[in-house]
This record gives sequence, structure tokens and C-alpha cells, in this order.
Amino acid sequence: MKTKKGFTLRPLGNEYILIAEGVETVNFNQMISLNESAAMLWENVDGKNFDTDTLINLLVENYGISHEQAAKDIQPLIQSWKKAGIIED
Amino acid sequence: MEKVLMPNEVMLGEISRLIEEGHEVLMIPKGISMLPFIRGEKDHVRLCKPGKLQVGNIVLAYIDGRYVLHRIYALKGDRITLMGVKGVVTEIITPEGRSHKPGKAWLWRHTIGLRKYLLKIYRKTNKLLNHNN
Repeated sequence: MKTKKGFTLRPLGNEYILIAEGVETVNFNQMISLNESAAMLWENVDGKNFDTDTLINLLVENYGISHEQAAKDIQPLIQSWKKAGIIED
Repeated sequence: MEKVLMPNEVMLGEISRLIEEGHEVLMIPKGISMLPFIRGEKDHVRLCKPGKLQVGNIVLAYIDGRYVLHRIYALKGDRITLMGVKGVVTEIITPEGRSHKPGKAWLWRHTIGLRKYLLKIYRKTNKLLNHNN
């Protein structure tokens, strides 16, 4: 997998948002928001090739959770990123 | 789609920064201060970097520590107020997708005494129409 080019991660309160650079109109009604852990993952894989294991390992390393728990948490995240169109195969 | 609720100051602060960087921003404002022209939590507004401001413009401004969407009523000698202007509304889009450019509301600006009665009529009519729909 790879992140799509042209997104910038910006903090917004307790969350983070992805702003599409070069797009003239930023639609705040359809904003892609990421929580702290999702933002950490995004920062680490942005612009690189990665797979499910990369994300699982990042969660394990950064949050000290079990591999099983991380694997469980990562699936819905990948699905939501795919649905939002911010990563590609 | 998940709805994320943000404190006004945080969201409008970020919107101001984006406008400053040259983006246009689409958002749904809250509140009733711009009725009947902009209906809070219904209409979308397009905001962009303010150029030469005119009386009648609807602007996003940072005044006394908070963000407000208001119409400019006077310009003469009011430099401090204008310094707080972060963006100007260039388009209003209804939930049905109808779009129009905001007018200067000349008549509205000159009906201050009558306004509360006009708004009362507006709200009553709206309630009736919504009830019938």
C-alpha cells in the first residue's frame, strides 16, 4: 500500500486533519480527520510503501499493545483509509 | 460519514489560517446571527481572503477573543474591527445545492427597528413551511 500524494497532516484541536494541497477549495464539511494514533501511523508511512504488518508493528512499538490487539485495531483503519481514498494498493 | 465536533475557536482558527494561505474554504456556520440570509447548520458558505472590504459584506472576523460571522455595517475609522477580518463570504449554498452570491442587504441594513418583527415573521413562516413538509 501507499499513501496518496498531496495530503498534508495538520493538527486541529485534539485531532488531526488531512488537507489536500493544491486544491483550491477546502471543504470543511467533508474533512478527513485522524485521531492521535492514526496520525502517528500516517506520519510514519506517508510517501513510503507499507503493508498491514508495518502498521501493526508501529502500533506495538509506540503504544506497547499486543500484536493481536494491534492487528485487530488496524483492519478497520485500513478500510476507512481506503474508503476515504487516501491510500492505494 | 462521522461527524466530528470541534470547539468553534479551534475550527475557525484553522479556517482562518487556510484562508490566509490562499485556500477557499467551504463550511456550514452555526448560530442565528446571520438569519435570514444564512441559516445556521443548514447553508454552506464559501469563504475567501478578503480584498477591499465594503459595507454589506459578510465576513468571518476575530473580535474580542472570538470568531463571528457578521455583516459589515460601517467602515469609516473602524480600523481595529477590520484588522480582525479573516475571510469574506463569496457564496451561499443551500442544502438543496442552490447557490447565490451574497447581496449587500441594503434594505435589511436600514430596517434595524423593524428587524425583530421581520425575523419573527420569518421564523413563523419557516416553522409553518417545515411543518407542512
